[in-house]
Amino acid sequence: MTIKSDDKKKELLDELGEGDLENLNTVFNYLDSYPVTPPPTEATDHLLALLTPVLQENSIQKDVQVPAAHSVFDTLTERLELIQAQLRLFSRGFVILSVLFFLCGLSLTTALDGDTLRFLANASPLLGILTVIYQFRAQQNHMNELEAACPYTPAQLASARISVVLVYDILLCLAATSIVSYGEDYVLWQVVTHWLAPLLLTLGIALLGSLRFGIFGGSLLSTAAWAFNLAASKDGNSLFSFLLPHTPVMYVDLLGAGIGLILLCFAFSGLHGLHVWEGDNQST
Amino acid sequence: MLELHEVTKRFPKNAFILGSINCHLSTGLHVLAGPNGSGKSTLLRIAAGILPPDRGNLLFGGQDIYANLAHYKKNLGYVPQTFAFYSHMTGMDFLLYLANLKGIFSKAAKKQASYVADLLGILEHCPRKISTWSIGLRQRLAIAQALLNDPDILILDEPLCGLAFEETTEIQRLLYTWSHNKVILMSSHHIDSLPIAKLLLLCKGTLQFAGLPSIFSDQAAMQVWTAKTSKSTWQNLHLAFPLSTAVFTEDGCHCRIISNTKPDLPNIKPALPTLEEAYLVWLERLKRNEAEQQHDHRM
Repeated sequence: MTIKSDDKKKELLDELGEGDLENLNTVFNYLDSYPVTPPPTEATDHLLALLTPVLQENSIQKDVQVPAAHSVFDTLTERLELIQAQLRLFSRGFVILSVLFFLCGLSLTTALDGDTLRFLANASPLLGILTVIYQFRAQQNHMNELEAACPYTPAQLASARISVVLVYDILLCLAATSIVSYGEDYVLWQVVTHWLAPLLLTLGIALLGSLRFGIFGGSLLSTAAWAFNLAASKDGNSLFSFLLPHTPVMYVDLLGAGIGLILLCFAFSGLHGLHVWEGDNQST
Repeated sequence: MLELHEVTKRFPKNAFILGSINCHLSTGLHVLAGPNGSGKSTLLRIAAGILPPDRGNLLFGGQDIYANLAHYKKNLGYVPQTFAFYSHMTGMDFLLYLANLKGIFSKAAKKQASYVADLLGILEHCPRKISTWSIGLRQRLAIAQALLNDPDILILDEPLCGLAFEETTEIQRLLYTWSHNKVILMSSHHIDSLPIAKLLLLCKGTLQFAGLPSIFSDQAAMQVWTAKTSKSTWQNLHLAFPLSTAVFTEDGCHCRIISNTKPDLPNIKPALPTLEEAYLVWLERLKRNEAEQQHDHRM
């Protein structure tokens, strides 16, 4: 039985956005001219028997395999542009506060015991942790879903953010180094490795931990490691100096920096397993 | 064309299963309706390629989107249901940031950000920090960012939520314009005044209906009734038929009653159901069917 009302037919045509009423009437009349009798059960069974193997073949559904690599945004220029975009996440307030933190810390240390090198070694990991939390705040800002809908993968985004964190922290610490070294008889690269080692180590722990426990969990783990190092170390030297008492500080710092770099490499390689958003997937 | 074949997603923690979903979405506006918790946002996230399904395929232009997800996302504009902004950013900073994330940089990003801001009527607010914006302005900003890359597919999760009446009307007009050359899939509770090409009804993770809105409302024929009554009669009627609505006038009220049997009222006539009334009829019917099934199961 077909539709009799012209209004109804017009409504259907409007929705479909094509054809005209005359043609539709012709089609309906043509269909009406054929009396349809239900097919016999044997014929239905025969048809089903013929179709079953074909339908089964087409209905095989494979589990979704997320590809390991993407074909766009892999060039160096595109990655640098992404890093540049991540710089927008820094607010003026954060930059001013972190610079003030260093300036005040250095001034206070100079006024108290003058061991600015020790301050730098202890403050650089803290700066690293704070920068990581600030730069990776997308989830707390409910921005991660929006960012996940963009063509860059979560791994590419995270890599760009780690790069920004590293560059910012190193630049700030280098600026502080020039203040610390001014008029002092320090060997520059030794001053640099003295703060670079704990910085890389805490960043490595934070980012590797974040793969398992999220960015806050990773940062907490890293803060705990930093606090433990402060509590366990003697005379301003690191925990490694305590564990390797007869090794020169220079080698201990290089060892710490090396371990930090290895942890960061592990974190980078772990990130490449991330290709899709795994946010609050309990929400329907 | 966006195609979903046997798409399934399971959430073992709360025993929720979405699927299996089959639908073909061509150019036009497709509205996903359903009660809260029915899986609309999950389905939209899957369609946006940000939440992989456990099983099934998503094809765009005949290609599996997971064969080149980045390419698919380059053609996608997405507005999530819940989102916030980086509080230190101005509207323009936010649009430029999202433009960069979509692979649009420097002058092209500025030009496109200004264009979409102007289109959504927020350009004059863009130099201000987003933290000072109203909810309606933020919602328009969210829609604006989805258009930055001039996408072929727009996926919008409750885009009309939080908008004032005049803003809703303006967005509906824009949706109609975009629907001529884009595949638009959006969830909304306001379905009556949208130029819908295909309506999808999702209930408890199952797609109950996917088709023309006229066919959807035809299923509710002879279940919507109209009558003119006094205000006191209406109060009793509303208790008996809770899904009914009324327009009050000086001398009484014009009520529209949803009931699968004709209510016993003088001068009552059957009315053509609106889409929202049809939606309520569908939900009632599904609820009844489910109750009957549970009853049969116990027997």
